Amino acid sequence: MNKSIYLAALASLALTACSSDDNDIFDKSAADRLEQYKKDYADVLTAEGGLWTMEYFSNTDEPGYVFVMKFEKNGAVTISANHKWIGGTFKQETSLWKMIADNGPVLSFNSYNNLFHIFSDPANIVGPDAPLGEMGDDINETGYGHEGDYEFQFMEVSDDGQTVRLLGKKRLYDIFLHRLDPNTDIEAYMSSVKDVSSRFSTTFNDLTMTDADGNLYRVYDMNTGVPSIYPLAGDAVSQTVSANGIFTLEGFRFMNPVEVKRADDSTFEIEHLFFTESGAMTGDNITDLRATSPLENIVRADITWTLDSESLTGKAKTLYDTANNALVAALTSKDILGKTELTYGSVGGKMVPQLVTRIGNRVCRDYIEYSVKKDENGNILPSDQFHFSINGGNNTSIKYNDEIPAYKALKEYLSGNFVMTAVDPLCPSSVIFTDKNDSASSFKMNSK
Amino acid sequence: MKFPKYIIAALAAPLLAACSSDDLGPSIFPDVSDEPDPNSFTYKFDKWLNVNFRDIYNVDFKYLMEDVEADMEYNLVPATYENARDLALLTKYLWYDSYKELAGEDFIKSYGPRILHLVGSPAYNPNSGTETLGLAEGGLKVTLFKVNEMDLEDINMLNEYYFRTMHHEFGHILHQTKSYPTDFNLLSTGRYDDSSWQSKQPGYVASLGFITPYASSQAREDFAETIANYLTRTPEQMELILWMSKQGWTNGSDNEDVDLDDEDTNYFCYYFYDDPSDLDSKHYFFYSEEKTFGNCQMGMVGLNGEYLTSVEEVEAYLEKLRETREIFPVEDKDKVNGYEVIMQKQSIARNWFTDQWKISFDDLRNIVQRRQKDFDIIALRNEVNSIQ
Repeated sequence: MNKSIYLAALASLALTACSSDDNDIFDKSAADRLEQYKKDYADVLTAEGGLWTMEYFSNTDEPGYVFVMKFEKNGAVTISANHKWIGGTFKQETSLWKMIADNGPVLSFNSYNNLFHIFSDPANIVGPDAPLGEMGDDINETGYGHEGDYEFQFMEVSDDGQTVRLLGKKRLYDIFLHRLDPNTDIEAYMSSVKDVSSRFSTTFNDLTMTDADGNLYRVYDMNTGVPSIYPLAGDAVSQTVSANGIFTLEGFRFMNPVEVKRADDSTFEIEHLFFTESGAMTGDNITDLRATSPLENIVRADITWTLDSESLTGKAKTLYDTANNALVAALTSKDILGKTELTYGSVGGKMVPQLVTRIGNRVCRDYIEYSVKKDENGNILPSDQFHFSINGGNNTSIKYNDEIPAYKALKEYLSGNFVMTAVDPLCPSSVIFTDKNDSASSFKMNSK
Repeated sequence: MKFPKYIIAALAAPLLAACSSDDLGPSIFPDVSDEPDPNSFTYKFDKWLNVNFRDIYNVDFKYLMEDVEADMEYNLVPATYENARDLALLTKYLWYDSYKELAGEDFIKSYGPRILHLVGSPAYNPNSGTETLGLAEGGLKVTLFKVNEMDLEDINMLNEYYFRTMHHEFGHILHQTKSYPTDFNLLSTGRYDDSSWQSKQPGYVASLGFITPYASSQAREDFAETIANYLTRTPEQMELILWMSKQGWTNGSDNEDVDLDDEDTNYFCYYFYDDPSDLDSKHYFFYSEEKTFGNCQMGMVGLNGEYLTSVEEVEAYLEKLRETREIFPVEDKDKVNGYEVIMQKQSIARNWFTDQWKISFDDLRNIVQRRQKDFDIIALRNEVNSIQ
């Protein structure tokens, strides 16, 4: 039996035909096709002026960086950058690029460019932004640096030829190129991108995010490009997720979609955040992202708010001017009503909120109490309503209240009912106060 | 049932028959020219490389980094175009042309590497706290690292990181082609230390018969270092190393239990007594240090941080000290005549060059030294710029 099987197997081999007619699936050899792809992709990069913006990630612990690259047909590439690792100023440097045959067609930046290869350089990261243990010198060199790629597999070109998806050869991160108009003012473009990240400040670090179901989340450290998110109704310790992303002119893109935890531990994904016309943000599965409410910021003890006297309109302006005129008349001086602030000061060893006005070199302090509502944990509930009551003041304030009714009337008006609107919903460093009963009357206060 | 053998043979016969008349057809590889494109940004340099390396020596000078040419375990970056160009010019002038001047073009054509690969960054070895400066692989390829830190104004730095490395790696290629005498290996038997050489100081290892700490790692590195240092060290530096080799060294403790291989331990070659009447007030001083960052130099460090880079300076310093206090040289207890061992190693290398390669080691040194002193990078760059 066994021998029959051997015989059949042997016979089947013997009956195999020698055919010289290979049925080629491709009409060209693999090497030829690869060479053609290299040429085609090089043509894509250099077409239409060859100007691209690159959204680059070197690792998952720091934000992405935007470069502008001009690919020339002669193998040169001029790279523009203004990231913090080169001092935060706009710089340009020309180096070399090439499409090489590697793991498929690969875009290689194969000569060192100080603006770009700094993210691939193995030397320790030095300076104040260095990771723990890598401060200031290169002792205990680890040989890793930022761990970024400088060679990229060319994965795909969009149908319209305006977007290219690259894949870092070593780190395997997606890197996108978006074509720019060849007439783009590169420095202005990069400055605009930088301005986007500048809208997020450490002073107003806390943002509030609303998901499609109306649930609220705290978002912080957005300014670092590595924001953290947790549900306000959940646990800030166990339900916080952090992920890096990149600022673009359109908004913010997470390097990889981030799985945000709801209070019940279910999750949803966010990849993109886009600016809305109002200046806030929206995005995948979320309806709104903006700074915490104006009231939460106005009552903060760490910020002093100063009245912008040039911003006064309507009744507010009338009362301000009347008070000022009365003071001038009474004190025979000009423009005597000075800086007006909402701040905190010590009264009887306790920090209390105050409305501070200056008359000449005298400081009038009115002790105030904001009208706020709090949750069961004592946290101030978000609100755009502004009202405070005055509970006494220092002797100077009381003196002028008694002597100059117009001055007292101004302060009473300021304590009245206003609706607050942040000039920039993401960075409420300036807030406009509009009279609830008279929308023509308003003023602006700026943070310090 | 038993099959007759002839049936099996008959069935198997077609398997052994060739399929004849296969036409190989055209190559599957595209016909890509290796001549530089006149419109290329790097045309002049590429052309210069072809003329001066490829056409004469059959050398592929890879100045654009190819990671497949390096150890993928390292994180490396390319060299800048400008530094790569300058190093290519210097490689020809200081290495290839030195051998060409002495032994003719055919020598380095026959034995020189076929690939020279430049890498911009160091190759860090975090576990040992060292950097690899160069690699020679099987006589075929030499890789030079740290090209982006090249400072043409600092001849010591150029020597330390590039020229000495070139001659070191070429030394490997030569001894891999024609072995050096095994007697060389016997001169320091038992004193090589492959694991902690990097923590040792040049003076201490010189007294043991090694020209550099790296030479004390293993015999073949010792041989390459013997060649490279003899060729590239200035007479002043070499004289200072030999002075160090004649000293006794101690880590500053008379305690016999102290681990002399302890890292971060300085080895001193002189001492004095703070209080001459108190033998316990012994104070060791004067240690060796090779600066490898910034202005790279070999030197001795004095009591107040003075950095002395020649024997003349060293002796003047000691003489001045003697005017104010009595100083004593550390007793040489290592039972090795370091100076003699280094001399013997140089002698073996000298004879090996003469016997195996028909080259005068000393003439080669004179040529290398002269070229290190007189290279004019502006003139060399003009070789590239004048390419049409």
